[in-house]
Amino acid sequence: MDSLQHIVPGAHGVVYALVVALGGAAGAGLLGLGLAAFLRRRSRSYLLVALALGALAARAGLAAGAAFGFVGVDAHHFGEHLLDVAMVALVVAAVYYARSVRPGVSS
Amino acid sequence: MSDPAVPPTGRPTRERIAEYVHSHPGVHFNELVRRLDLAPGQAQYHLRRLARADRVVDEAVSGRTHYFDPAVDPLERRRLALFRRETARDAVLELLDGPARPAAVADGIGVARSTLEWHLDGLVDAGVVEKRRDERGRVTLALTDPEATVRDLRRIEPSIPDRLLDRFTRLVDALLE
Repeated sequence: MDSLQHIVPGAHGVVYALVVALGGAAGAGLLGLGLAAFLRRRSRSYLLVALALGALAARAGLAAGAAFGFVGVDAHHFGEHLLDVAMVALVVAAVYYARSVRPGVSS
Repeated sequence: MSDPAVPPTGRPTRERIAEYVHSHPGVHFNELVRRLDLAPGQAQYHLRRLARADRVVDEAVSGRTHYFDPAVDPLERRRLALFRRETARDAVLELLDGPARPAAVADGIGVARSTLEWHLDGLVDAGVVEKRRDERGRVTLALTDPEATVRDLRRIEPSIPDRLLDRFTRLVDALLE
């Protein structure tokens, strides 16, 4: 817990835990929705969207890991920025493939 | 024969499941478990027994298993399963006003063309909607049997997780369009 003390001292620890828990629950819910949508559509774009939501959920996991002292401050910080990059890349790829796989004539 | 679980009401679990499937045609597994507050293993056990006794039939529609009373006509089963999806319902409601062009239907219900086309595949397969082509090859959508469709629409109501999933795919389709 020492690792966390200089980010969130004292009473802020409770607020921090609440925010992490809320982010985790919401992230897991969204990831579930993304996976269900991918299972329904089975397209590359939906897979990429689900993976991007997975990165969002992993961010909350990393924050929880930091709160319990499993992840150091530096790893927490760097990991989150790394996941940001992955999320952006996945969303951009999803948008790109949505265009390139669209058939010229529909119906 | 003793049932493994008898709820507080005293009614055996298997009867409750059979009744629920009867009154909610096309219900799927997760929803059944949630609504009747059962353990998944318990529900699975009873559904298997009910299926063996021909009191319940299961039908896979677009990758999901739906349960029906065997008295429900096989053609109607697919229709009922599809009407549990909000967007498919909206598209069909739009077509109750009369045949329309796909672009007009997509605009009318506020979804991307790709969302509409995905739902149309299922609706055309199930014989709810037909695609009519004019001499220039332009498509007009129409209901094959509006009266049967109205009857089926009244029988079912999409659940909240169904609605959420539907709205999520609408949003993603619209964003990626």
